[in-house]
Amino acid sequence: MSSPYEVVVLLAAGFFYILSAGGYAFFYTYARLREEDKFLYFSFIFMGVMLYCAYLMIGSPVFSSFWKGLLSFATLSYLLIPKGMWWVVVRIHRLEEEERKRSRIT
Amino acid sequence: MERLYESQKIALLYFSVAIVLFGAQLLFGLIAAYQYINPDFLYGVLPFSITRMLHINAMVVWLLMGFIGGIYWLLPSETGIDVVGAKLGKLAWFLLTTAVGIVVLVYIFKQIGHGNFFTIWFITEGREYIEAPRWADIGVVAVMLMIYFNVIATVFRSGRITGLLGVLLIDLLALAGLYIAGMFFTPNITQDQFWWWWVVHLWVEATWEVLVGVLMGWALMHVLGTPRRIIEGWLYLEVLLVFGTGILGLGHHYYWIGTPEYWLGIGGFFSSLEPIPLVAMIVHAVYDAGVHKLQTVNRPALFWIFLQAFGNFFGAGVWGFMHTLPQINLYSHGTQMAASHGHLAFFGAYVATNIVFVYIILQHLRAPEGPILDSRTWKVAYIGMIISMVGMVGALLVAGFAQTFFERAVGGATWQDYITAQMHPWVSVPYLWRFGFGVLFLLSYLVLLYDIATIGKRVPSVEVKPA
Repeated sequence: MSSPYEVVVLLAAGFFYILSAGGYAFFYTYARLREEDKFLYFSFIFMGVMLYCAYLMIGSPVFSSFWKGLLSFATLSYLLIPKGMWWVVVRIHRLEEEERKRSRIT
Repeated sequence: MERLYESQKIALLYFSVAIVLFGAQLLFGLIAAYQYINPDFLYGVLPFSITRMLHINAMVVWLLMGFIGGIYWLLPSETGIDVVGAKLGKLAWFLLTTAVGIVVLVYIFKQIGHGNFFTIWFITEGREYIEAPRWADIGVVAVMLMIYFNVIATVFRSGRITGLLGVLLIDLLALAGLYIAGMFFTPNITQDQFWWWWVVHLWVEATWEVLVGVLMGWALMHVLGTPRRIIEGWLYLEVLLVFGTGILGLGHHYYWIGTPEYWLGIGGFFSSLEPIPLVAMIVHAVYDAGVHKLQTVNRPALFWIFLQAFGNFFGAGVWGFMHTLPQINLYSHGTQMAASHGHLAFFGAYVATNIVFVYIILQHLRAPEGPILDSRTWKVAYIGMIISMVGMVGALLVAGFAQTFFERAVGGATWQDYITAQMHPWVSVPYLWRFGFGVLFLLSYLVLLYDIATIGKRVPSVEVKPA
C-alpha cells in the first residue's frame, strides 16, 4: 500500500522520466548534427534529470525486484538509444548516398 | 487543377467527410466539457452519455476516414496506376458515410431503453468507444475488406510492390481482422472487456500506429524529399518496435478487469518499453530535419509533420508512461489523467497525420508546380490548436493528479471520495480551463477551415527556401 505522497511522487517521476529521456535524445542528436559541444553538455542535464527520476522510481519500496530490474533496463535503453539510433540513422543515410553515387556512375 | 486519378477523387470524398466529422467531434466535445461544469445543461435532450459518445465516435470515424483517404491518395503514386475498383471504392465510401449518418441519428433519437439482442443489432452494442450496433460493425469490416481488395488488386495489377505497400497490405488485414474482436457478445464482463480491448488498444497502439508510419513515410518523401530507402528502412524498424512493444502492451488494460495476475507483469513490462520507439523517432526526426535543412514546397504540411513526430512522443510516450505501471495505475486509472493522455496522444499521432495529408492534397490541387504552399492563416490555426490542446491537456492533467491524490490515495475510491474530489477546486477549476481552451480549439478549427478553402489560391510566386 503506497502513501498518497508516494503515489504523487511516482506519477511526477514517471512523467519527467520519459520527458527528459526525449530531451536527452533531442539535444544529443542536435549536438552531433551541429557538432557543437554546448548542446551536448545541455543534453546531459536532461540525462541527469532522467537518472534522478529513475532513482526515485527504482528506490521506491512500492516496486519489487522484478520492477526495479525492468526500470533499470529501460533506463539503460534510454541512455543508449541516442547513440544507437545516431549510428543507425547515419549508416542508413550513408548507404543511400553511396547507392546514389553508384547509380550516377552507371 | 491537375487531372486527378480516380483513386485520388475517392480520397477527396473521404477527406471531405472527415473534415465535417472533425467539426462534429469538437462540437460534441465542447458540449460534454460544458456538462462537466453544468451537469443540467441539455439534460433530457442531449445528456452527457450521448455527447461524450458522439465526441469519441466522431473522432474515431473521422481519423479512420482520413487514413483511408490517405491510402487512396498515395496508391497511384506508389503503384504507378489508378485504383482497380474505382466504383467499388466510391460504393464503400457511400456505405460508410451513410452508415455513420444513420448510427448518429439513432444515437441521438434513441437514447435510453433496456438492452436485448435487438438493441445490440440495431441501436447500440453499448461498448465504450465502439458503441455502433452490430449491423454497422459488420459494415465497417465489409468496407475495410473492400478497401483491402482495392489496394491488393491494384498492387497485383501494377506488378510493383514497394516496402510501404508491403507494410500497408499486412497492416490493413490486421485492421479489418481485429475489429471483429469487438463483436463478441458475452454476459461475462471480464471476457467482454478482454476482447473489447483487442479493438481499442490494438487498433490505436498497433495497427493505427503502423498505418500512420506508412502515411507519414510517404508524406516525408513528398514534402521533404527523403529518399525511399531511408523511409523504408526506418519503417521496418518502426514496425518491429511498435508491434514488439505495442501488442503485449495491451496488458496495461487488463490490470483491473478481472484477468489473471500475470497480466500485471506482462502489461507493465511491455508498456514500459512502448516509449522506446517514440524516443528513437526523435533522433531520426532531428537528423532528417537537419540534413534536409527544411527545404520544402509545402510549409503547413512540414510543420504538421513536426507536430506529429513530437506530439506522438509527448502524448503517447510521456503522458502514457507516467501512469502505465500497475503500482501507479492502481490509483490513477479512470481519472482525468487518462483523458489528458488520450487528448494529446490522438492529436499528436493521428490528427496531425490527417492534416498533413490535407495540405499535401491542397498543394497538388492548387500549386502542383510551385510556388510554395504557404499562408498566414495556417500558422494561426496551427499555433491556436497547439496552445488550446496544451491548455486542455494541462487542465486535465492537474485534475487527474488531484483526483488520484484526493479520491484514490487519500480517500479510498469510494463514491463519497469521488464526489469530494469532483468538488475540490483542483478538479473543478481545471474543468473551466478545459472548456475555455476547448472554445479556442473550435475557433482554431474554423481558421483551419478558412485556410483549407483559401490557401494556394492567392500565393505570390517565390523561390523554394528554408522554412
